[in-house]
Amino acid sequence: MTNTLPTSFWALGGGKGGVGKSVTSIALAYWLGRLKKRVILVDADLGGANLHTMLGIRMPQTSLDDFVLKRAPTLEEVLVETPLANVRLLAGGSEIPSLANPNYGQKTRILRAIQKLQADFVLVDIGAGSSFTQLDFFLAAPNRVCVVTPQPTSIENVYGFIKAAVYRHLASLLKSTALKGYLEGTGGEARALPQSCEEILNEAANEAPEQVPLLREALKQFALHLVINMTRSPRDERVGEVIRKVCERYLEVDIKILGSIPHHAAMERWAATMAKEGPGTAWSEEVLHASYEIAYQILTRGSTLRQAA
Amino acid sequence: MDPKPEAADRTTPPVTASRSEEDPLERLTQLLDGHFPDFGTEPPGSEGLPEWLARWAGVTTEYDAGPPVLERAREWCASGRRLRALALLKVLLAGGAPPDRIAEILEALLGEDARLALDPVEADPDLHEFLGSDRPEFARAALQGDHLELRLLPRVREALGGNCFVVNQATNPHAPDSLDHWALVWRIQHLTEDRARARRKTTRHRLSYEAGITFVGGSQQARSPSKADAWIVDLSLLGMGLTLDDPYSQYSLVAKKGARVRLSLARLERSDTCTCLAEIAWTKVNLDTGPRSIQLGLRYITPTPEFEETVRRLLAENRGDRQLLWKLWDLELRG
Repeated sequence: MTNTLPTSFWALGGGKGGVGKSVTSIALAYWLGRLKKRVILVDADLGGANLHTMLGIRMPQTSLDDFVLKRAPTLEEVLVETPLANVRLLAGGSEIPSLANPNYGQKTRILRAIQKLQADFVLVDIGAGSSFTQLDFFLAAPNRVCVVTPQPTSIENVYGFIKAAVYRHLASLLKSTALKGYLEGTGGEARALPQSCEEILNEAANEAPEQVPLLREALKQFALHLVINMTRSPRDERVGEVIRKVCERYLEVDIKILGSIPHHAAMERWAATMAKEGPGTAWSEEVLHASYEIAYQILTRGSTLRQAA
Repeated sequence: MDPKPEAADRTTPPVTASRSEEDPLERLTQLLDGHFPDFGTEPPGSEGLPEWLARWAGVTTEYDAGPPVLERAREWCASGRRLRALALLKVLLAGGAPPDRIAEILEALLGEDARLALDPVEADPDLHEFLGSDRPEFARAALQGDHLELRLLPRVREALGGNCFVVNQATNPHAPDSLDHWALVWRIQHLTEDRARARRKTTRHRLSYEAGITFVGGSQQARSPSKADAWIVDLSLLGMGLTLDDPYSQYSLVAKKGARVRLSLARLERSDTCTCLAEIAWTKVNLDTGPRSIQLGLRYITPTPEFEETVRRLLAENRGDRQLLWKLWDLELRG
């Protein structure tokens, strides 16, 4: 499930609910759309899809359900238009309760179908939590963004989410089942779970030394970005550095901070009223400006990656 | 040229007069450089190949695996032929060379500080990664556990999986009518889940926790106090690493390798302590930063159930990353 999507795919996760993953997704889609890019927003919150509601669409005509239930052969046919220019939405399903925990076949089918979507940018909004489903959707995208707020609960959750994603990623590369079990905590050794990637590499050196270079390279290549949302002071922006340092020390992954979006009461009003107005008229200037800076980085980074590919 | 072993008894090669005059190290060097003896169409039994080769080379329990062996192994390691060096040590070990001597050579190959192995050492990273350890005693165990085999090249190509590495292949096959060239193959031992779990017990987890130590017999040493407070720097189910402040060298007489100490740990969420007799496995004086301190590596001898439970709980609750997260949070956002 790792890195199966093209480089213009971006996944937004973060573990905790309410930190602004969906709003950030919408903000990025809004700006990329205004910059004349064809954008598809994917609501990958399989158990609690509501991105459509935030976009003022009460009941989408089609959704992921139609694809899963095979009423539509491709995802292209279930996309719905949004009030945002150049932005279409793949609305999450709500008819199939079991879709919150899709089986391997369903998950693979959905990811393969997402891969075939035709757009300049596909932004996948991952639901809250760190279950394997969320992690697999997150890891399938080559570009990953975690959204965090300066709240301690969000910091704790986003670190847990990143850690789980890194461990899941490494486990997916391993051939040794013993080591996999150790990494995923399924080896009956709850007391001896790895506490850092250094420990994992040491274990791998013991049990599967030939796989150590592969794991080292995977950690080196593990691309992750951070957006700090709802900052109220410049000091809040240091949250990014806190997470970056801990990840560098314990997970041996490099995190790039894309930027921060200030807290503004207008955003809460906008989200609370299910306003028909798009971000351009309802959002504050500061939020629009900050999200433009992040969208511009994504735009340029996406182009660079495509050229490199 | 190497004499041809008796066809009827390939597992017991004859020792000729010319062979006994030749140094086993030289014979093994030739073999490991690719000059294989004539194995005929049947290889020696794979299971006992190191023992077979040791007998063939003339290694005995009296053989002194001394400086020339280290020199040869170093030379191979320096030129990237590490498996030859390890194969040489494995054969010597199988022939009865003293295990301690082999561990010393491994320590020298891994790096000068290999015995400490708590921090990244200036070890040969490839050798370390291959053996899966910086520590010579574990490296020796890995050396003994892995297999050295002779295989025919076509079979090698088929069988080479992730756990097989070619040490060398014959450059002068003596029997042109034999099936094909031989290859010396190093096969890493297969780890079952149980064995992996057992090996994992030795994994040291970094943490910071206070421990009391009492040197058994320490009070008999002049001017050496018998008790000290120390900090655990890493911990496993079998042993721990400690740092002991020693600005006035007062513990240097008692903190010696092989000495015994009584360890004392505060039990979590309780006011009492638990103890365990332990042996000092190694020591290192640290003069690099700050006042003089001594690093001690301890191996538990008689851990009580309470002690083991405390160690397990410390390991389970050790969350260095979370500690750092909140420490940075305090510094960056609340400081």
